Amino acid sequence: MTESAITGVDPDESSGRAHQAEAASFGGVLMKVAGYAAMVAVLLLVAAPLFWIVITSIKERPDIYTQPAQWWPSPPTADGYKAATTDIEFWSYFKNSLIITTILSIAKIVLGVLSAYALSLLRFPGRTIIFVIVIAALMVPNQITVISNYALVSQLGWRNTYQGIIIPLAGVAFGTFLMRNQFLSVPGEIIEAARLDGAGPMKLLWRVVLPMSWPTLIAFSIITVVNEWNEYLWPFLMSDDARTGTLPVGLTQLQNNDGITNWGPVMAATVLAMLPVLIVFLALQRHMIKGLTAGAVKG
Amino acid sequence: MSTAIDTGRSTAAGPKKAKLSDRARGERSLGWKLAGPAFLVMLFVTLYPIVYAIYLSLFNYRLTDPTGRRFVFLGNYVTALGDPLFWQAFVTTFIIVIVTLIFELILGMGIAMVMNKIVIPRRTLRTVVLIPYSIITVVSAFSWLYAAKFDTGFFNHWLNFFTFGAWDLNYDWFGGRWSSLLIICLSEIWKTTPFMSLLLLAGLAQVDSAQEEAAKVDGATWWQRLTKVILPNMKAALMVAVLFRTLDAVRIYDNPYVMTGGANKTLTLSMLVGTETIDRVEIGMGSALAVILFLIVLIIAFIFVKLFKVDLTGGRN
Repeated sequence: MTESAITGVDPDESSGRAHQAEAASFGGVLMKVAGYAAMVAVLLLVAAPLFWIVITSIKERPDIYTQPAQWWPSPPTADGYKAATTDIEFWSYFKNSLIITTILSIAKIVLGVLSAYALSLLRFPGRTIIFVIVIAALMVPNQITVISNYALVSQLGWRNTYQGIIIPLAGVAFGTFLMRNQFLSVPGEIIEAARLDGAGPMKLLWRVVLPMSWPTLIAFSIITVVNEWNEYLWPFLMSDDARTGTLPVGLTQLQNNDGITNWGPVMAATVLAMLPVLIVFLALQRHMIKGLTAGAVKG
Repeated sequence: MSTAIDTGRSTAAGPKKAKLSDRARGERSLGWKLAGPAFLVMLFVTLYPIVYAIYLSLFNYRLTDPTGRRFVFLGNYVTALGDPLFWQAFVTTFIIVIVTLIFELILGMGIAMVMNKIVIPRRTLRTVVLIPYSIITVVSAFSWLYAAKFDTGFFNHWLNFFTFGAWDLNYDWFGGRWSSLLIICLSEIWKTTPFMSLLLLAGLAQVDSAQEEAAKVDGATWWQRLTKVILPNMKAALMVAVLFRTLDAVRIYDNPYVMTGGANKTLTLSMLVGTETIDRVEIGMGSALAVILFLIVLIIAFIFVKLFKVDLTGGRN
């Protein structure tokens, strides 16, 4: 990569226009090759452990512990998946995760976008104080909040309820912060032009500011969905069983089921737990590309 | 930028004064309506618990012995800061933070740039790269634990293969502090680099490609374009990514908890809080440790803000 960069600006070559173009295209090719090589390396690094998870999930139990490790199961089996979905109330955990993640994600995205918009582009008294508190909230380790929230939720009798899990998790410091920074980067000229055209604050948000912020909004959404889906400590403390327990809680139950870890079902459950997030990601990904091109046109 | 807006406003202000103050009034109430709910939730789930934790941290209070609750003022803090275990956890935490942050930043930036440029298998690439992020932390830790364990994993076999048999097949990765930390850092990097590249990609998308082209035409090297054009233009995204990853990494819990359970001096600050409050039910001491962790995070954030010269609360420009 550095080699191509050096060729690109070699002072001797920059004398002639033809030479320069040639060097640039040569550098371009090298860059492309280096880029693809890097991509392949990254793909391999990312894929190896994933491959391992999937392979283990379809291995027969004794094969999991065979040395040297087998790279292909012989023969593949669905036992792991059968065990994962029957040893624990998998679909019940799955449903809880789905409900809790959906409600929390929608709440967080709506609250995050609205508060970020107010804190970035509207003028009102107390704005700075609210934002300082939001930033401070970002720094709070969840070990701090768990203690008192646990006491509070227990007193309300909300243990083993959806609201007991959802409400204490609904704070959106990260989203507010991320979206506010994004909204502030929208050129002031465009906002002023829209205002002069008679766009009210809400119209300004929907028609101007938000469409220009797609990539960040999509990134924020993906991060929110993944975080809620993966949330472990709080749902674990809040639920005693599969009535409200989420997938991570169920997974650790599966892991502890008989004292020793039975890796096959655990890995099978991992694969199953990964799928919804993957679907969300595939669905949002298309818009992310749209957003990216919109961002490129901006200037 | 701000001057342009200001002059635009002041010229408009003359004839339409009444209308503008209407707008200002409308903005005031709308501002509170939009930010209010998020603010209330925040107060309820974060501010109140902090105040409560600070209050509890001043007591010697064990959950199993409520009557023995005693006011000790800063006694818990003195004990905690005088404990070598605390400082060991402090050092461990910061080793993990620094190592993972450096690698995640470099790799994340590289992946974001490749994702931004490469056209052909873009969708597949983005999806695959982001998969580790979608895996539940507890589970990704399990799978790395499984892969590194000498009786089930493939790490030793790979290393043995690539060093032509020089690597010990029965090397115990979780037998020592540094090898344990290495695996913890590796799995953490594997898991969270996608998060980094996602945030950086959103920032990269906002870099004006015309500027980059102009620099290229002017003969700027690849490195110059990166450091003089691309990075300064995505400073905000960069800052957010670094700050958030740091704050998250300081609070690392699930990963080392699954891997080592804190054995071989791999206990992190967050795990220390966990053992005090959940296992030993020393609510007072646990709260004091949680408050210390909070203060450490605040200090880091403060240093970042000074270092990057970014005004977190500042508005436009």
